[in-house]
Amino acid sequence: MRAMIRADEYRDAGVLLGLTQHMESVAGVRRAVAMMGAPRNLEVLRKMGLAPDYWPVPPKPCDLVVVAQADDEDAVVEAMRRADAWLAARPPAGALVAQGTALDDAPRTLAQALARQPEAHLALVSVPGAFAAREARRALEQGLSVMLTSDGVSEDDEASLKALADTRGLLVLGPDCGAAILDGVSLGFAGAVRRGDIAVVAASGSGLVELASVIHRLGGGVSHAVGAGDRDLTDAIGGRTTLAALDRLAGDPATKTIVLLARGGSRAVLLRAAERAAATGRPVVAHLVGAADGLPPVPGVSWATSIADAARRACELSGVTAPPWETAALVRPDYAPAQRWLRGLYVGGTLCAEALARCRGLAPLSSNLGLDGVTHSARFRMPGHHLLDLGDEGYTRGRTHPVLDPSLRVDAMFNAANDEAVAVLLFDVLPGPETDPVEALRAALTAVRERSRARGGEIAMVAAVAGTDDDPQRRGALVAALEALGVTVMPDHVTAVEAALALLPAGEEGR
Amino acid sequence: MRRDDEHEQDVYGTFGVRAGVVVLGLEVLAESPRAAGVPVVVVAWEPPAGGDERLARIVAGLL
Repeated sequence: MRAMIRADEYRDAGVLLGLTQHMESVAGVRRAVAMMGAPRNLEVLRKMGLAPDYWPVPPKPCDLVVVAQADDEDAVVEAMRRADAWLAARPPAGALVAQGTALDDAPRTLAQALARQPEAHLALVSVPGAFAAREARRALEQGLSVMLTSDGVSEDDEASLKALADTRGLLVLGPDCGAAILDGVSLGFAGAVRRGDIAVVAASGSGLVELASVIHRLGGGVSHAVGAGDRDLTDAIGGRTTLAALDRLAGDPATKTIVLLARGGSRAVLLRAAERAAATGRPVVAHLVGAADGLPPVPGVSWATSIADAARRACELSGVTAPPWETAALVRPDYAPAQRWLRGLYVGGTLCAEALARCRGLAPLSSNLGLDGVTHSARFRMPGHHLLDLGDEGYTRGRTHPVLDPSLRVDAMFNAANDEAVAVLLFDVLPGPETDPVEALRAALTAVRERSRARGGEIAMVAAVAGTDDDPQRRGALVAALEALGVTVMPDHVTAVEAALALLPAGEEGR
Repeated sequence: MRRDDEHEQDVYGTFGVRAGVVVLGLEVLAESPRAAGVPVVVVAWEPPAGGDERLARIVAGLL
């Protein structure tokens, strides 16, 4: 193992991930990590077993730390050599350099950026969580709305940022808002969705992406999709972003139908939001993910039973005749006697929450997401049915979200491959940056299939793939690649959950 | 919207995104608005106080 410290060299999480993957592609390298030297990152490094016994000069938070572990010394040396070359080819603020702007001219602050782009109305803030609220506040004070992709923002900070935004007629999307579509412009990881007349106001990333992409695949289109943040509909936040977005949509000529997608929060705030949506004069479809009981009727609002149902109803209200899904026939494998449980490995939190609600009838049932009657556990392996949201803050502290960095889910899949009690593996695929999300899972999915067969059984693998064929990764190609690996791909996330439940061994399907 | 002006809404859209975007943090997030023809400026952001969160809080409190 070898570690390298590059003093005073800040790199963003996307660059660090790219460097990590580049080093891990070197033959013989078992693991590589590139991270900033913040204390919490060094603790993660230590837990991974990749921290040296002794740092001659302890890394500072502003230092870039690069570590490689390999089978032999030559591979380590080669990994470090390639890391140097890779970084040299990507000077900090590389995007600006690539555009022909001299590095010295790159704006270092928001104020300098606004001097260059005074008309800008939106700041995309994805700096580490500890600094995110500060940058978001500065942007609001400069008159910009904010899309806050960072997680780790406290509820108090969120409340004060959204209160400030309200006083200035601005919006704060998020925090932890990984995707949005505003004025037809796809932001974050929303993917390529057809423009249309359906507006979406959703809790956060994965539900928004699934909803927008299902609308697209049903033949409809999206005017705007606003990610309000998972806590927006709580009493503490009071639905500020949701309500402000609905007020904007009231005057939007491109929007004819509104979909409200909520995850948790206060029923009273949700009902207020539903009433505000109806007051825009547009037909409204609303869905509360995981709602176990009925919601009271609101004039002008149709309550959907799932994200896909919400998409289908919205398309119908927009005059789009959505065809029924074509689904493959399900064949239950010949399970080994020890195989009993469902294992759900999600990167989308809203999707995991909806899956968990649909699995309520299973017992025993555990998850890292809170739900009444469900045992709380963030461990990879639990006896019983177990669903994990791997994008939860408990996992992403000190590391990149699994939509960007698949390594955490790969580890969890290998864990499932080695667990003789797993019968069904359920997972989601969300469009990320340009990388191929299926290729990243190939080795793990192959291990799931081969190791279960070696034990005399077979793990059924079921997936839902969000996105569209207009995405750079092309959804159809991802589906074909998964099917070639033996995965049953369902047309939307809820039908995938239903398929997984139907495939469980006899006696384990739940109530 | 930053400026309460219906003309701006016509030109820049209901959320004003087409007027321009400033990116602080992940440079990869500049790609999709840029591909949509939106003017984008990326800030060469670095954590304040050399990334020392405690010191950064103290400094922020002094300003």
